[in-house]
Amino acid sequence: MAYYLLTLAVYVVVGVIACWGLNLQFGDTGVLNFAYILFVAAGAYTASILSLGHPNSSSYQHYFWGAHMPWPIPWLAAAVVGGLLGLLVGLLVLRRLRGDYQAMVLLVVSIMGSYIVSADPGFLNGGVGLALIPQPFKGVLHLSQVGYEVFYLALALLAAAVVFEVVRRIHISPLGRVLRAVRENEAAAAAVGHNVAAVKLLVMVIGGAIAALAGAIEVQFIAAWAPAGWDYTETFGLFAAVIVGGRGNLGGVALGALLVQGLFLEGTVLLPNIGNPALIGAIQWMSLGALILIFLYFRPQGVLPERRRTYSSDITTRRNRMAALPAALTRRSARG
Amino acid sequence: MGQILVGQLVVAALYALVSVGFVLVYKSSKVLNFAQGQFVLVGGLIAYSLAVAFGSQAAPTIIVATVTSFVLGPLVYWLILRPLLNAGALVLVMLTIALSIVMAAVAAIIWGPGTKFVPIGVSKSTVHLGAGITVSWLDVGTIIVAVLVLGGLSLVLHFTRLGVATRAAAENPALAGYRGVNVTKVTALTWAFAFATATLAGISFSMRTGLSVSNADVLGFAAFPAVMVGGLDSVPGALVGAVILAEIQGLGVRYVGANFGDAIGYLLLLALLIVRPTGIFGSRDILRV
Repeated sequence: MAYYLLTLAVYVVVGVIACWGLNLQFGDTGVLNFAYILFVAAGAYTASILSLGHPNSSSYQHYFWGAHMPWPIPWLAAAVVGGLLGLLVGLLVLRRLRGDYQAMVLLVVSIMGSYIVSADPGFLNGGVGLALIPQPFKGVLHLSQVGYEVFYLALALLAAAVVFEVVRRIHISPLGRVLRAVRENEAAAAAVGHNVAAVKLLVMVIGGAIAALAGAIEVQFIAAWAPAGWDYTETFGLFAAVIVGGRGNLGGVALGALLVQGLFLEGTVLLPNIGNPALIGAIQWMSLGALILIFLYFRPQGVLPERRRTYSSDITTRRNRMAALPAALTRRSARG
Repeated sequence: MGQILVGQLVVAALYALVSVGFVLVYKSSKVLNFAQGQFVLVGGLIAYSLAVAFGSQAAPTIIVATVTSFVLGPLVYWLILRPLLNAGALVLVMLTIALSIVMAAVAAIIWGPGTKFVPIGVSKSTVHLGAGITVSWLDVGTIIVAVLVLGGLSLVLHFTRLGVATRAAAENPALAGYRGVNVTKVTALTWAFAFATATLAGISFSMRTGLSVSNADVLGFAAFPAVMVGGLDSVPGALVGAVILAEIQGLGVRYVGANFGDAIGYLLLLALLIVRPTGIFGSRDILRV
């Protein structure tokens, strides 16, 4: 049971990290990145080939290149690759297209990515996927199975803390205000001099890096990665988490990831077995879709809504100035 | 080569029937319907059940399935989209996503996970066109249906009062409303056509390759590049885009490899997206303001 709960905890932490990255794009900036899972996958593959070592021709799995790197490098490299992929995809898609059209093109990009990886068995072992991915410090620590899970959870939490600090600082910074301005009204944000395309490209890069990091953490935990695991529909599970939790609110998003990932997708395991697994899967997805609909209709701001920020000191000074203005005008007119 | 080009025409017909749904819905309500693939799935599966009920008679199956989907389309519009029609593109996209998830799941619950072939008696015997090129009667029928449907729809949109009303409702719903166009009715009608054409695609698709929860949605997204090529708001564009996409993929499979055919098509389309984001016939509407 402890083993099960710890496994679940790592999944939830990975989900929370991924959802924070998605929230930066969707929640703060209003970019509908329907290729989000592609970035998670890119991170997972990067971490895999950087820990598996050189591809061995006699081995049953084939990949184009590999190295055996110590722990932080696969995660960091994954983040870099995710960021670069964000730059590439962003440059391709973001420049001139409307938001919903962008979303559809990104979805097509996501499907295409999984086509390409599945189609070429020499690239990343095709549809079978990579397996036996080494776990960090597994051979050095000599821990029990549960002990190692605790250790890995700590590593994941460390990464989560770093990501939290990054997205929190972006959220409260002047840049965060620009992101929200782009979300609320693109034309107005552009009119006051912000480069909307550049802002969106930036969140594609940062969000892509965060997604890839989440993928790296996940892959070194489950030690296997295949195209079936990053189907384009997985992206919608993450979107559901952000919508349910409350887009734009980091605590809310984490809560949403916990609810949707932890309780929703894993919780049915605890339910009595009602039928064939395909039926349970269908019921899960149906509830997920229904959950999105219910929240969009009745509580679009999510469980924990985004906090409206008012910049009190600015407004007070401005209000005082405004209050002083008529008096000054009257004085002048009286004198005139 | 000739066989590939002719054989891909039926794929083009399927793409055209699916992508015209994207175009119609987008033209009238400015919504990109992410559930279009699920329309294909549910429409095809309804036809499957009808065919079983009617003892595999072709005509009643196709007619009743099309009429049923003609009713389901507006129902989807009224129940799911209309309440939040003014909430912005982001919300509408998420609504159609949620709709697609629910539709696929409901289909899986009702019809189960297996692959379904609509068991109606359209001849699968082949026609010889000379030069060693053959097509099946089913393929010929699909191509004829697609051309008739898309041709008919573009004629209706351009030359009838209803078509003008539809285009007016898309252009400026408020103004069209003042001039006596029932915008809700017109929009619901486009959703009806979108679901009905998807059902026709679903029937043909399930007779050719079989229909399952896992391949129908991909058909929806596979057809989207056709919309990208043709232009998001042009019915003839959907047909032209579908032919271009299908032929590129056919040649890709033949000359690059079976696995990469689909991906090659997509890559070329992404290249096109950089050069001409509106597609061949599209208006500049999809560009950012």
